[in-house]
Amino acid sequence: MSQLWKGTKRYALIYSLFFKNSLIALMEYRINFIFGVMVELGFIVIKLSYVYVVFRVGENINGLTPYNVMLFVGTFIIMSGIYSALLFFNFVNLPELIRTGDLDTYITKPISLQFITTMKSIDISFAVPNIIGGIIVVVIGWNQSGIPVNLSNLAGYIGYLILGVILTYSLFLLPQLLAFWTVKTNGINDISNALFDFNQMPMTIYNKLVQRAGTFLIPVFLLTNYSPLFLLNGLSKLQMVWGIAAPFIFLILVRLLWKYALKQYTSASS
Amino acid sequence: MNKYAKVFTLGLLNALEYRVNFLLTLLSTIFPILIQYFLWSTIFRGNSESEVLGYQFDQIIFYTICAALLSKLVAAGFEYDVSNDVRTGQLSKFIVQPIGYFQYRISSFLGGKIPQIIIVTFILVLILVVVKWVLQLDVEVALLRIAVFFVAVALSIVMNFFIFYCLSTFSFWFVEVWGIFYTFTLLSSVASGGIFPLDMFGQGINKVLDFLPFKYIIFFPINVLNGKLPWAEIANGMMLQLGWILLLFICSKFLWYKGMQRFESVGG
Amino acid sequence: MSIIEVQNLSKQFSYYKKEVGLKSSIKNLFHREALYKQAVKDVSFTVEQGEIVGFLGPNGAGKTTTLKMLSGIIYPTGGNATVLGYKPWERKKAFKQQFSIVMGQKNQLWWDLPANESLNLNRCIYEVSDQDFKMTVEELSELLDVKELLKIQVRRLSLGERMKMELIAALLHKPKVIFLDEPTIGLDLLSQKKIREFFKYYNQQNKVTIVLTSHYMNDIVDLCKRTIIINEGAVVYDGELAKINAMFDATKIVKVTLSQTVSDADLLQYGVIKNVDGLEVTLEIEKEQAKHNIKSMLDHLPILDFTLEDTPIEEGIAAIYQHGRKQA
Repeated sequence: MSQLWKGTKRYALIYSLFFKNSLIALMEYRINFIFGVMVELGFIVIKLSYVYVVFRVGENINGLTPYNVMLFVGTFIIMSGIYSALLFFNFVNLPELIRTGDLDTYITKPISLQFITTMKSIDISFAVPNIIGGIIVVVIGWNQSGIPVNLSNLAGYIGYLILGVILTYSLFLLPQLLAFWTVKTNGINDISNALFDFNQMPMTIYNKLVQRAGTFLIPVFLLTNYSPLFLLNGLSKLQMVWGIAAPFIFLILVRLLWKYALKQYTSASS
Repeated sequence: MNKYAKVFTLGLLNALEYRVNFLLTLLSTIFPILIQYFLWSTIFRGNSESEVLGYQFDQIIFYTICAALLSKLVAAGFEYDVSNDVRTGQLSKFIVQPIGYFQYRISSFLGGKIPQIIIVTFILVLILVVVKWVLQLDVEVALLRIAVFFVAVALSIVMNFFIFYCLSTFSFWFVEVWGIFYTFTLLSSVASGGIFPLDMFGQGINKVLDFLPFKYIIFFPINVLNGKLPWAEIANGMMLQLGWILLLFICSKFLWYKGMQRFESVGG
Repeated sequence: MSIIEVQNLSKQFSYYKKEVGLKSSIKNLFHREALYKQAVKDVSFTVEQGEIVGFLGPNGAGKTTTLKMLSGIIYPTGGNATVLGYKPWERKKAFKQQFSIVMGQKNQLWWDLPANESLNLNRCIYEVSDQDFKMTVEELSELLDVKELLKIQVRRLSLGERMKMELIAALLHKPKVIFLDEPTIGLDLLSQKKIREFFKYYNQQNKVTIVLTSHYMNDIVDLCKRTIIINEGAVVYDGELAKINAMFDATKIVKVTLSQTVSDADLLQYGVIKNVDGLEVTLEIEKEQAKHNIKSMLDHLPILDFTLEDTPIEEGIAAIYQHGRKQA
């Protein structure tokens, strides 16, 4: 047990160094920080234009008031920030690491290869506007929807948000592993991002078939829908359990596939 | 052959090389269109009225598809090349050679649009046929309107060129510009009606948008096509398009004059 | 037990035959013909603690592939190897903490950060204590003369300085075995020399075992008492580099400067003419006859100056490559 605790502490320390290093690099390129924030603000405007139109329509959407919809869009904005700041660049870079053989250097390090290659790059410029903006949108939506701010609601919301992060990691890393078999992944990135964007609006607007596919087959809706649905008492027992189970199932899946892919890996300079 | 005709042809050939790429770009718009389709079907299902915010269901879907196609069609992109030319000093090549940079850029840009226009026209006709005769949706298709629509689209392509040609002068004052260009592109896509029809945003916002050129790039041409505008307003709108082109042209001349002064003083 | 033991190590890469044309592309969709390339075949050797061993061989000979197997980056398809008693490709943490690989063409430092930040990250990854870390960095940066550069962004450093930082990063955890793959590639002569001197010193001080590949003969000549030459995946020579010529070549090179021209016929009786440049003549003479012929040359030819050389090592090596090819 103490071994596990020591290991966790070591990885947390290393992750905090990744964080620190990314901050130092950010100071080097301040203009990129400003640009990152600007671009994300642009994307937030686009996301909010959906909310604005929903307000203009003024009607409930499948039982959701416009303020309820804000909860969904706000959560989506927060998750976009987390995804692009912590994960996206690592995933996009993975094929490049394999192609150039830089992966070799990491293999010889006494640390989990998956950890270092998929968590190393952090760019908080993308997170700042999204997390601040997203929280504001969620707070307004939460408040105006008349949902009590109590421990169970907070825990449920944040809990499903964290589960969403785990699932985002697993779900979007999976297709990138194809890079081990020398397949170009550009097209896959586009599709991944498009799937992510399906959370732009609450999953309840989609028909039953799409909802089921997006819940069980490729569980994109679990990324940002379950937090607000939990608050609105919109989760069935099955969904609650699946929302907890799916992230771990996919995490195990991606771990197994990672190990398999690595076995297949023969160095690029062959 | 005239040198600018040659540049035009080169732009065209280059775009032909990338035709598959352009098709894929168009294909990628299918996801936002799907989201809007589901959003609006849900809204209309829960609503007893046949119109929401002035649009019937068929009309809004038609708008969404056209807007997605048009925003890809008018898209600039040469602004990054300009920035590159300024940063690497390649621009000085154009100072010493008997070729105007502006003429070079616009010829190459418009040449590149020709294959794209053909592709989009083809898709649009296909959609119109499907919408009108297969799905029997209630969208008015009038040949005269289609013809005028293409004139309006041509004008908006030129307009968008000038907007981004003005924007590209940022390269003279800043070394890094990608963030500015990218953010501007995102915001202009909302302001031009590339995501939702602008009249959905209500009067307040439209009062502001009336003072900006963006609505004439996507929102206006689609309204020409879908029959929302009476002929008098179409004529009026096209006059405004021409007015904006003139204004932006003057604006770009001034900004480029200032920019080149700086470029030459810094030494390129 | 030896530090590194390699027995019949082999690596076969499989790849797919690619034919041009649409028809074969479609055919390939259903059936792809696998081809195999034997990158390393039956390589065996042992390395004792404190040795510096050089790997020599032409491009694609299998040097890097062997190093990669020894550092656990790739699995072998046959044979066995232990490094420090571990099978490298099991990738045990304890093993990783005791060796280091430096590849001249790869960098592990963060480009936009000062080198000391990357070093600090490596400290945590290799679990080096604060005290050891400080001492090691202090000592190595002093030795490599880069103490003042630790706080400067890596991208602002010269190639040579960057390589030195890479070395510090690789040696932080005091590895017992070091693999160096082209450590001096692209560096200027002075930096190459500095790095060689450093390794010489480091090896003597710490009794570490070093296995090195390089294209630069100087690296090998300077550092390695023992050289393993690999060609087309197989070991063709294992021993002292200086003795290489004795194996294949039994000639000496004689360079003379004459005071007046001498006819070729006169020269030919002493040996094979390699080069005539005015009054400078180079001859190749059989070893057994060398003593006799040289004496008689000095007696009979108008010689101003005179040097006697062994055939260059490069030629001996080339001969080995040739020989290996004939056998294979």
